[in-house]
Amino acid sequence: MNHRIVITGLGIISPIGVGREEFWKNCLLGISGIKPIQRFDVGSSRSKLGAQLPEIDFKTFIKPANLRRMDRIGKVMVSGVKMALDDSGLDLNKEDPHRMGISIGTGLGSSDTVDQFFRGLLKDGPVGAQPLLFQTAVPNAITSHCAIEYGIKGVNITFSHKETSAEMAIAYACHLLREGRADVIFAGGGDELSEPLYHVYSILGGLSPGKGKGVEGMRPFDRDRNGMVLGEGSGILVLERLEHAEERGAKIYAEVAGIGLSGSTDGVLRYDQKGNSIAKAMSQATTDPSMVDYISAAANSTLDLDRAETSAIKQVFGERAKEISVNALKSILGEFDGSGGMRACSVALSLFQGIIPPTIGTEHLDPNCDLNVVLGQSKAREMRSALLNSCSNGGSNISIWFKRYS
Amino acid sequence: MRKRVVITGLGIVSAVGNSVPKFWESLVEGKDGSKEITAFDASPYRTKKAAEVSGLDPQAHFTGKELRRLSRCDQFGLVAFREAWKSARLDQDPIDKERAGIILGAGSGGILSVEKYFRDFYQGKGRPSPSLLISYSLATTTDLIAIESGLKGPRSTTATVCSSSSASIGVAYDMIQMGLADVMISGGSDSLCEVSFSGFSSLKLVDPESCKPFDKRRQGLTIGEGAGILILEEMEHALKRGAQVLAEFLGYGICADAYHLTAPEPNGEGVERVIRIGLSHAGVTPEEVDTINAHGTATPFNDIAETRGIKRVFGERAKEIPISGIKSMVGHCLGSAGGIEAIATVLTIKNGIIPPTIHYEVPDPHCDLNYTPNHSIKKDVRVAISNSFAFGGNNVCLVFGKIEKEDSRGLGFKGSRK
Repeated sequence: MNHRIVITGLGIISPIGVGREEFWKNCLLGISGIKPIQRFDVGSSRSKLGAQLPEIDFKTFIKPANLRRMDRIGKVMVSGVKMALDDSGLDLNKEDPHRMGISIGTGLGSSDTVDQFFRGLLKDGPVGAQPLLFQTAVPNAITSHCAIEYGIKGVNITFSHKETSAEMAIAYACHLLREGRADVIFAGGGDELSEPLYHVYSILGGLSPGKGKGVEGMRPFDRDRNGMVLGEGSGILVLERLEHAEERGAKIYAEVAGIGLSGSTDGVLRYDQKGNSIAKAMSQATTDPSMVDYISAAANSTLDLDRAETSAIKQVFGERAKEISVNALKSILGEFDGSGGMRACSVALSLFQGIIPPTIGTEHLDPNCDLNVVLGQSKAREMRSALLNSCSNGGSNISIWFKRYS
Repeated sequence: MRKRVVITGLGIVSAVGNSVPKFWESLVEGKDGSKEITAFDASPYRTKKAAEVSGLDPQAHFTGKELRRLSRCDQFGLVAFREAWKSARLDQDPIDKERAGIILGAGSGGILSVEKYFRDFYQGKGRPSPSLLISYSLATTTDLIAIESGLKGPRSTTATVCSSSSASIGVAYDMIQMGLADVMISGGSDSLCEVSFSGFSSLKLVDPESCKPFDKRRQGLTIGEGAGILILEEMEHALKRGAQVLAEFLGYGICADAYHLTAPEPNGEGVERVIRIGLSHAGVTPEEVDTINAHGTATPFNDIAETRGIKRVFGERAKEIPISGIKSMVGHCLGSAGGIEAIATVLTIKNGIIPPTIHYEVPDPHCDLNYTPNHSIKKDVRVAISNSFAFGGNNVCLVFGKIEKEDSRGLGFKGSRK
């Protein structure tokens, strides 16, 4: 069996807006989600920025009684699923819960809760270990919250593989739908910007303004880039078998047409260095490269990745690379492991509406990154298909090919 | 038409043996791997035992420089991987590395290292080594194995903790079905750390004495650690290079209870569904199942729910099917539990021996099946399933089949495959 897969709902909790409409409006305006970090004290660190979520009234999305069992990121994820569900128009009373699934990608899930739990243990020993914190600290708790809240009894899985976590969750969901092993899967990802995670990144390196000089900020493909800024939030797609979506007369944003996965082996904290492996994932995902009009790049303001991805795009598309519009949405949303959910939502909206959000912050394009980058302002363009790229340090690369639905 | 996938290599690090032959010998003998904890100071805890890995000399496997950067979890994973890779003869046979990938399951992963870092950092004790933080990501062990073996195929990590490495085997199988790989490494690695130990202790899920699955006196799990790595290979690919074929991986089920964050659905409805999904995906009927490797954590509620789920699927025949609860020997290895249990299941099929559930003395009227008490039994096994359940009711059921020299290609599974 080879079912076609479409996107019928989007749920987004982002630093630039809660809900698809506000998120998309601000994406197109090129409004940055990056601000000085306020959730915790960054001390004397030179990296002071983050793309943080606004204060959110979760009671709008979740019953107050149920809110009590969730931590902050749990609420963010469940709210994302709730919005995606509402947007899709699915009626849970009419759906078979066993044919609905959930597939989520995240770095550490509830990293704040892990930290709180650990601090309790450190301070008071075994009696300081709080059971209620522990049960929400496991990385799959965020997925379980969503399944419990909406009675989703089919496939349930959580992936954690650095910056490709959410793309893997989407890729796996698509495979199951393609084989007819489910009708509907909520797929995407999310993370929270927590103090220990920020600390890990600042110690291991990678955060702007890096070791060198320069101004802190997210500037993908810029010659003056100096590292990344962390972000947080959730992005959820309702992925559905086309037949099932058509039967219920669902609105269709886009179709998922192909998946590519590859690995590079340059080092445990290194991206693909030459771009060969990224190119392989892109080639696997697209059976017809001449159809690709737009690429949502993985570019995260890291020298190695920006250049490797540029090289990969040229390897796959040759001369036509110049005709393909490229943007780096992480310039608006920051970088985090589950960011692929939001970025996938953005690609679906681009195909649906014929407009591409800008890459912001980038002023002087790196001559080694001479792509057709959408800079500063959004760009109207009718697109036949688009690629979503993701690459992790350590070497996983995933590309997802989306087609305009017709 | 789905591709057929076989198991061509196994590697293990566990409390009862750091190689496949030693591990299997211990399981058949019914050896208890639990001992006094040395990984951290367990004196303030009610339970002071765990199924800790011993007798593994890191210096024999890694250089000093490597050891400074590798977490205990990474070390277990790499050691088990090397055994699996070698046993599949992949260290000798030239294969296309572009079509070889890895999906591992993670649990607490390198938290032991990260825990060390933050313990010193929060208590203001000197400057902890930044390399302890490399293990912050659950993907680190996966990446290290891929880098060591030069795998350029699909790569990811599942993070459903207690069912992670079972899920990873399913996902790896699907990477082969997607046409992205011929060879996939799967399974998992996990190491004992105080964070997860204290967490399970705080939920009162750890038995202060021995782990006694399905026994009326059971009080919970013994935490374990280790790595279980399996090589999955597309059958034609394996046959072409003349690889050893240990068993066939027939399919799997994955689903959710959608019931509670920690407690299983009490009537076994989720357990029933995941077994049925697995069997249907594998194309075998319940009547064909010869043995069950249970999740069997020995927590009061899990064992009842699992027993009920098994009865719901197999009806009257449930009492005749020998069930193994090997967590009574290897402990609950969290992120590697599913991988280690899958290895036990493959070896059960290969050797025709069903390992026991040890420490079983007092029957529980709520758990009234044949748990293979205390002594292994000989039985020809053609289809075996392995259950894994995680917090949040994340259920996985793996289905393995015996390879018999039957069909024109020289081997094949005789079951009622579609």
